[in-house]
Amino acid sequence: MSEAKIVRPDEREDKVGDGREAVGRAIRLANLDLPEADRELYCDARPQAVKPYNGILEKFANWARANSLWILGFGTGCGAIELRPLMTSRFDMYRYGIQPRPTPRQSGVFIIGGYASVKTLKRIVRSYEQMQNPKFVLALGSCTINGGMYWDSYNTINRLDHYIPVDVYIAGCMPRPEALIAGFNKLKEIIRAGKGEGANKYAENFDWYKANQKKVIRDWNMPDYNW
Amino acid sequence: MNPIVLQILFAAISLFVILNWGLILGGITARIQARVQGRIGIPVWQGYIDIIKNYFQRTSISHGIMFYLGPIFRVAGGVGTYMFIPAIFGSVLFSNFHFAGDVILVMYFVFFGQLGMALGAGESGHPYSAIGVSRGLAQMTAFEVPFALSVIALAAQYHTLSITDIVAAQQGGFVHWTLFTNPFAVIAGVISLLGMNMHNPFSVVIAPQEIPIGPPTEYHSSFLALLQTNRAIFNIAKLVLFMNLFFGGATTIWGMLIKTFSLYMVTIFVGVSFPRFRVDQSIRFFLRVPTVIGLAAVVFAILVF
Amino acid sequence: MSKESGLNGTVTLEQSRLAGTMQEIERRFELTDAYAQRDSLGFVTVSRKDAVPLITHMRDYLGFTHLVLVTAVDVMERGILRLVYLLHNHGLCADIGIQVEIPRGDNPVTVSRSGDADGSEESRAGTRPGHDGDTLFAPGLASTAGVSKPAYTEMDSIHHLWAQAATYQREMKEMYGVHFPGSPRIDDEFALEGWKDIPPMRRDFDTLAYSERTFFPRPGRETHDPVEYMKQNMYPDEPTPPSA
Repeated sequence: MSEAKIVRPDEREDKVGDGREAVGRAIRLANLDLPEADRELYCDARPQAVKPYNGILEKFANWARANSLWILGFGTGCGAIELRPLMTSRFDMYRYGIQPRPTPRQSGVFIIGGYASVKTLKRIVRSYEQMQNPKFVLALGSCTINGGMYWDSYNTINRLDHYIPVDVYIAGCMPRPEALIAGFNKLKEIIRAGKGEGANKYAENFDWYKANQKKVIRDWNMPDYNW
Repeated sequence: MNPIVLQILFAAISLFVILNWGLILGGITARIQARVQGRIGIPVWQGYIDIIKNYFQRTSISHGIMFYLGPIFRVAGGVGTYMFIPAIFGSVLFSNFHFAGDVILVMYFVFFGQLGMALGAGESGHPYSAIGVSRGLAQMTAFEVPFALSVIALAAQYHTLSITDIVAAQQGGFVHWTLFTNPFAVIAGVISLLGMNMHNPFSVVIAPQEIPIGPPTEYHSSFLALLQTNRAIFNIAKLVLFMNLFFGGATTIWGMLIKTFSLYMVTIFVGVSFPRFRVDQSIRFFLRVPTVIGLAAVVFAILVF
Repeated sequence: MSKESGLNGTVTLEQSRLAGTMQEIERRFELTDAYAQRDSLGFVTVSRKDAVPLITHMRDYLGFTHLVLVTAVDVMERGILRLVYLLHNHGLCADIGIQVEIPRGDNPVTVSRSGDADGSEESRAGTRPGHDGDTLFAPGLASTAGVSKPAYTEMDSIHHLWAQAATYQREMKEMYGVHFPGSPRIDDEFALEGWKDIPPMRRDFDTLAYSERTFFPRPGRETHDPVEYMKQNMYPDEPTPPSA
């Protein structure tokens, strides 16, 4: 399935071609202990930060990214109910260049809809990691900020930004679709300003994010990085 | 200048024009569909932005060699289809690489992209890709039957397999169009065009709700941008082919634009009006009435002409 | 046996539409308590050994064919877990809740077979991904795993009466630590994945402390009384409402 060859940490190259530098130390990935037959089914490379282009080219790219936001159709909590009205004729997110995409491979924006239980967080991490590099996270509702009404629950996380990088928080319980569109506009500003570097931040602080994720996800039965 | 070099240059220009027309037509279509649903809809140029964004994605994941080749085959199928269709009758710039038996080759090229895509999507290993591929190929096999019958009818009617000759035979007023000389062939052909364009009711292949996006589930970044580019070209190539076969071709670029636009509206009107068929339903549909109409077209062509 | 009325104090069991049913089951089973909460809802309490025969009898002979829910109440002051089986009779349009009190036992700690969350190396070696930590309960297995742990408190399974009871029992094992020997997939995780603490619905589980320990609380969280807060922000000059 994957043609990536098995790279042991000690022989990992820290330079990728065309001047894009890989940042971060080599850590031990869980896959190295897998049986040989299963190993190719899983990724064994850690994420790498990719340098932006220079000058006007990056500005042009950011303009395109800001005007073509493909959201991942994964409703992770009760806030996903606020995503549905966005597609209807009343709010019509399409005219802002926002379109839903059913697969994480093709999407660039991940909307965390409210509370994230530990079980869901595992799927959130997997989906987030499968998205491709310029990727942005909109955190919807109070629950993603400090736990909201589930702040003392045994099973929901309190701060989303300890597990994946968050670009925009939208406060409220629940925020209305208008608030969500306002959040999108804020995200567009961030992207146009070249500050939407969540994916690189994740790659650079990979060990910290992984340690936090593993602190709450107790049965870690997946590769350390899912691409 | 060497004539073949000149022809390649002209073909590149015509391809460029067709690509832009395809992208804009996609935008216009989305706007019209949005209006039917009471929305404003995407900007007309959204297709360009999406493609640019996808080309600018920083990372991409490969699943193997066929995964790379899938979109390339798809684009080869789209470009190849267009390259052998004379887009504007009598125009040197838009004549492309037409030759005596080009209608057979074009029919093959319509298939080719899908088969290449099937191989590439298969290697991605995603189960939804496999479901989408099997649905797509099954449905394609079904709508090829009325399409092939209507092309056979045309060949019997005009005694030629050259698209240019078929267009030439239809010149001199709209009563000479196949639409009026052999309406059975046109009905069978246009119904199979609905299947080819994969709008409702034949959209289950790329059904965005049931199976994520169909065969290209795993395609992303520049792979996806390539597929989107191809979709713009391939759409217009199919429309130009049908315009040439059934609606008298075009002698000016404006005629071509108007005719392809109107022809595409048939798909859109049917698409916004009807719900979706399952694959087994659409196969049964294509193999019944349109096939009988196609057979009638062949019999009609043999008896009358 | 007290036959006092329930919360609203207006209906007794004899007056309720469950009277016939109650007479029938009182003849056959030893009830330690019975009362009506309302006309269409009664509760009886039986011992563990009578519980499954009573439920079977009610299902097969008395028309209580619908299992509404199975749940548990942790009465830690008395050291018991009270299981409640709520059955519905479609003919009578009435429910009977069958309460069973079982000893609470010590808090069981679930041990995950796939090892530590900290990614300790020996636990991960040779573990297939996808084979996630199913909980180790089986008296024989516990010793082989080298972990000494208190036994689960036990109750008889009713999955043979209603297949969906198996799902309730899975949930109760996870949330309350009640084991139902023989129930299908009883050791599988239900909602929690890789839970290692005491069952979270037991009342001595401190959920706030657990949350603060685990989930990185964001500092600066405040709680306001809505009445005072709105008064302070919106109409500070008005007199305090009497309720506040």
